[in-house]
Amino acid sequence: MIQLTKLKQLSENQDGDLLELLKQNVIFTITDTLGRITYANENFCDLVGYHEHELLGETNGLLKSECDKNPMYRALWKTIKKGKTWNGTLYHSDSSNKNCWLDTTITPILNSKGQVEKYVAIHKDITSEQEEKNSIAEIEFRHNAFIESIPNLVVSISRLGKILSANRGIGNLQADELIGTYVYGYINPIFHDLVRKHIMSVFNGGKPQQFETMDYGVSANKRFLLSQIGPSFGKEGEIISATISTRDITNIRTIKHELRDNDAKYRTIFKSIDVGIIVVADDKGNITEWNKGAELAFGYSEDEIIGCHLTQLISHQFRKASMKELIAAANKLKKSRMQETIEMLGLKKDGKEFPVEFALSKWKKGKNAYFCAMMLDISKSKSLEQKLKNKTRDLELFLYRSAHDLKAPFSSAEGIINLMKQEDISPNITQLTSMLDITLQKGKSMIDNLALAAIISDKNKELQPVDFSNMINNIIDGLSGTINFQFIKFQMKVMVHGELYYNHDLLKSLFQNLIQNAIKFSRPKTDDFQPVVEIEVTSVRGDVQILIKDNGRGISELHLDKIFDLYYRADNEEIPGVGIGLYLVKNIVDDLNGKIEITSEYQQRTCFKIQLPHSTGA
Amino acid sequence: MKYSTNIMLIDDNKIDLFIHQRVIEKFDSMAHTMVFSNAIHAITYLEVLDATKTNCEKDFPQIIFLDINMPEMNGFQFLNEVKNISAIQRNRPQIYLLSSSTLPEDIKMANENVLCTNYINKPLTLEKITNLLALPRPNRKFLKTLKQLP
Repeated sequence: MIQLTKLKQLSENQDGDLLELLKQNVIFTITDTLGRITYANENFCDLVGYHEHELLGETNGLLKSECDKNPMYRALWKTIKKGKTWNGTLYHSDSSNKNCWLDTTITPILNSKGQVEKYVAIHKDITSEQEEKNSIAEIEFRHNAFIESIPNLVVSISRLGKILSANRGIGNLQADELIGTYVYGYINPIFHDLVRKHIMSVFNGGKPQQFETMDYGVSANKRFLLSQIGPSFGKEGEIISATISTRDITNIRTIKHELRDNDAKYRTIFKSIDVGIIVVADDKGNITEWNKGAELAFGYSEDEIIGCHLTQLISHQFRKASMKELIAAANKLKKSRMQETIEMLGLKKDGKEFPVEFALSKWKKGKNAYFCAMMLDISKSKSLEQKLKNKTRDLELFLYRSAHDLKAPFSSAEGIINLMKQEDISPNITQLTSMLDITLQKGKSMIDNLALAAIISDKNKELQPVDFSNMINNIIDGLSGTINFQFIKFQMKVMVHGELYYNHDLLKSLFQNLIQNAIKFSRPKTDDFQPVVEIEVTSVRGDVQILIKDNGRGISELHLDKIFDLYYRADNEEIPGVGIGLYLVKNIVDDLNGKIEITSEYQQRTCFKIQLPHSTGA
Repeated sequence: MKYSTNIMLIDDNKIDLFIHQRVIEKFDSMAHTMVFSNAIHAITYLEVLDATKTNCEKDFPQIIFLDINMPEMNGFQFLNEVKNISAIQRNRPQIYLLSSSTLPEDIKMANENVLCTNYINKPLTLEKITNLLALPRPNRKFLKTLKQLP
């Protein structure tokens, strides 16, 4: 104030230079007792954004009035009216909403009578400082809010466990109520030793520690707490306190436990499965998981195989084809997630191969795709399958052979009957022997057909090129022992082009049955009658046409449509047969996708016409 | 002087042997039959005959009826053994293979064997024997002509 008075005096003394200096560096106004501006320096004008002449005579907005609702202004006016100097921070917001804070000193100038004549206000722009302060306060506020909102209970304690500060309360106690109590009061007594040890070690060594405690909550449920303790250092680097941050990890711990248990459980299951082979590979085909079953089956230990490529497990011979199949299966998986089983040959460590069945599944972990191959060693089922096949073949062969072998006793019996017929026996007995003869013939032809059926039941036979002439000659040779054979004249014509592929056995049975029939139903040779069997094989428009004609007994029209039925026999007791032969023929033709037609004239002739589709080996 | 026909019968089945013997006796009561139920014995007999008698034609069989399915030695094995006996080469007896089976393989093999005259489906009957002996190899001949057809 003395300085200001001096200033006044200086100005009054017209010390222009000094006044000018002040004018340039200080913001100041002179206001009359009613608050009207009588002088404003240039800096002030800049601050408020008006020219001096506009401001003169106006009330100083900066100082408001003694009636302002803000108690600060009221106090200001009260002070200066009493003739006392006021000091404080005023806030000003200009027309462009720019905030500014001014550190202001208002000095009343008294006249000679001791009355206030005018006020000199000196302002200092402290906006930047104020703003900084504000932002700090804001940060602090947020910080506090944050500390309060974090779930952890953070307390700082002394060496003895006395709580020096806390961010929140425990249970019903408020944060400030905790201060001064001992931390041990809030810890399950069984952990006191543990906690003490950690506190001491922090105070002695200064290294942060972590420990877990267990407690019972309000509703007596178990709570697991994880605490971290660390030292707080003083200015000199000495440890002044320790900070404990405690967190309730009950939920996490339960989940973690379950996860760990599950993980352990499934891992154990996965590893110990020794019947199934489970191999997990990444999308490049490198093996990442390997179970006991895989180890047993392939002979590689887990350490040996992890990281190797899946192809190492596939037989060399089939590797290319198998990989193709695998890739196809994997691609399919991508689309439909369907499980596909593939059969392939696995390769053991010792080089042995064994058949496996593959089922692929796929899942994604992050960006990486994983494939799980579940394999089943099907060596056993494969060998059983093979055994079964062999057994079936054996059985068929057995049926075939026994059908032939059974003929021997029939032939013997037939021989005996023939001898009996030569003997002088009573007519009654003759009748009986002829009946016995017919019965035996029936049995014999039944067995014949059984043998044929054995061949046909086994349809799974390969196709071979057929030499028709040769085949038919063989069949005729084979039939040379049958009754009437020697009287018959055979005529054969074979005109086929190129190699024709058929199932030999089926075709043989076909010819055999038809030629046998032709011989069986031939009419006896006389001086003017020569029984003839014509066999003709020709190519007709790509098909093979077989004609078997005879000039035998023929078949009455009545029976024509029934002759292919099973067990159907034209009513002819003289001729042995059980009605299987033509049924077999029909079946064979159907098997070969062919057609069969029959034309006949009773006691004149019979003609079988068969058309078989052409088939080449390919 | 006319010799009686020597006919050798080989079959493991005694009943069949009996039947065949009776049928042959009916056909030719003068025929002299030698009956063997074992092919090995029959071979021994032929070998002894070949070795001991310089003039064995009188006793050597002109016709042999041979069963195919026999234990120890079957008909085909018999044919294999017998072809080395010199008397067989000299006398060339007619050998008929007899079988109840109509296995195509058997029939084929029988017809392909040089020593085999023909194949006969059992039982042997008077009718069959008449036809066969009256027309030696009739069907073979016929089949050969058949094959030459276009």
